[in-house]
This record gives sequence, C-alpha cells and structure tokens, in this order.
Amino acid sequence: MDEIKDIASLDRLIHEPARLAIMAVLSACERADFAYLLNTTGLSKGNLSSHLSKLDKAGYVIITKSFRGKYPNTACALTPEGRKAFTVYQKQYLALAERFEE
Amino acid sequence: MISRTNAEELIRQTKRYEFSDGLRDLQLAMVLSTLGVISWLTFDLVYARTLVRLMYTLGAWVGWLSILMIVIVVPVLVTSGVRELINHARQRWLWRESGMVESLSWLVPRWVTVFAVSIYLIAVVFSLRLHFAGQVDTLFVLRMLVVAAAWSTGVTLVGFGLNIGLRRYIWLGVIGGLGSTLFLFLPLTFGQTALVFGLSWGFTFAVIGIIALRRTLFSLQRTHSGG
Repeated sequence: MDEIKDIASLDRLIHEPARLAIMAVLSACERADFAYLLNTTGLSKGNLSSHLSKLDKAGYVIITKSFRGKYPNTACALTPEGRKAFTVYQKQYLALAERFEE
Repeated sequence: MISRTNAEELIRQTKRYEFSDGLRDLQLAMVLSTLGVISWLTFDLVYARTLVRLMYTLGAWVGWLSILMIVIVVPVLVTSGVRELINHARQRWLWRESGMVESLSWLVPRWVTVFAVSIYLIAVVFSLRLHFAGQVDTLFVLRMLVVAAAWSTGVTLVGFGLNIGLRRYIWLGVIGGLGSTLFLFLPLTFGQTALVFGLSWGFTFAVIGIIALRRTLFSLQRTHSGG
C-alpha cells in the first residue's frame, strides 16, 4: 500500500520520460540551447517545444530567446524551483527503486 | 522510454560536454604556463635584479608598472583572451550543430575540494615541522608549496574526472600529482620550481587537449561527410 502512495507522490510533470530527459540535461548545466536539447534527448522539434512550454508553465524552466550573431537562439535553464523539484524527484525515485529491488 | 540509468547518462554527458573537445585543456595549458612564468619572474632573483636596476635608472614607476603588468594585466589578458578565443571557435565550428551548453560553475564534488585543501595544508605544515626540527632547509619548504599545489591539483582532477566520467583527467591527476613529487628533489629555486610546475603541467594539458580536439574534429568531419 505504501508503495502505491509513494508512486502517487512522484512529480508527474517530471516523471514523463521526455520531460525527465529534459530536466536531467538541464540539471547538469547552467543553461543549454534548443539545439543541444534536441540532439541529446532525441525528441522532435515540436515535441521538445511542447514539453518545454509545459515545464515553463509549471515554473520549472525559464526560456530565453535571443540572437547569436545573425541566428536566433533559444536558451533553456532550470529555475531554482525546477532544480529543487528535480532533486526531490531523484531522491523519491531512488528510494522507490530500492524498495522494489528488495 | 527513458530510464533512470539513461537520465544519469544524460546528466554525465551534459557535464562533460564542455570538456570533451579538449579546448578547456588548451585553455588550462595556457593559464598554467603563464602562471609558471609569472611566478618565476616574480620570485626569481635575476628578474628582481633587473627590475631594481631599471628602477634606479628610469624611476620607481617602472617597478610599479612592471608589477602591475606581471601580476594583474598579463594573467587577466591571457585568461580572458583564451576564453574568448575558445568561445568563438565553439560557436563558429564545434558547437554550431550540436548546440551550446553553459556548464555549472563548480563541477568538483565538495568533499574532493575539502580533501585537496587538507592535503595542501598538511603537506605544508609537515614540511615546516621538518624545517623547524632542522631536517630540511628553507628551499625544501618553498618547493613543498609548489609540490603540495600539484598534489591538490591532482586530487581535484581525479575527483573532477570521476564526477564527469572523463578518464583522461583521472590519469592526469594520478600521474601528474605523483610525478610532481620529483620537484621536491630537484636542485631548483622556488621561482624555478614554480616555472617547471607551470610548464610541465601546461605541456601535459596541451598534449591531451590536442589529442581530444583532434578526435572531436575527426568525428565532426565524419558526420559532415555522412560516415
């Protein structure tokens, strides 16, 4: 019964595989641009955009649009709340995984 | 479907992204070599004698200007210049297609930093105790300042390499840290020891940086030619 409660307490916004990949990448740097996220996560442009805007709406990610020379550039970074939420998620997931292994 | 293991690998891949192309190694090579030369210039008597002679003939301002140039202007120019050059090269060639990442400001685990600082302090205090016991001369203590810095750098590199999953830093940390112990027994002054430390570490960083950069350029070339 406890396991079910624990699973339910996981942050669903982060638990979704594509968003977990985005959060994992952004947790390991100050900021990354759209091209890097596209290459590392293997998502399509549309998919990545849609997941990023969901994370942006939740206040986990901040998206900045600018120009690098002549080219437009979209940089993404975790907000302090996003970083905290990802740390909590990692701890919960790890604890849960250990219990299932037992 | 992404698993926890995949997420961990993504985290490591992102952490080492900035260091995998070898440009950071080349930057460190430049900075360490410059620091070595500056320490030598600052502490070696040959330079001090020349400086005093110039101050007598041209005036005290020569001394202040020289110190300002060597201690502040040159290191700042070298560090910022090389950094700008690297950023430009990355934006123009290396990261144009694979994307840009700004690394976390501190990638060395805290316990590694504490361990590295402790090693430095213990080594210096130990050499001072030996000195006061009359077992070693002052030059040994001065050389220990450089060797202890090399040991701390080695430990930091090992911790850093383990954290981001790049083996070349682990090897460099172990071999460089242990190898630098040799400086203790070379008949060199403090300035010369600092110079040898800066140049030897700088050279090693330059070599591993060039190897990593070559590998990156080859794989870029292969991607462009569709191989």
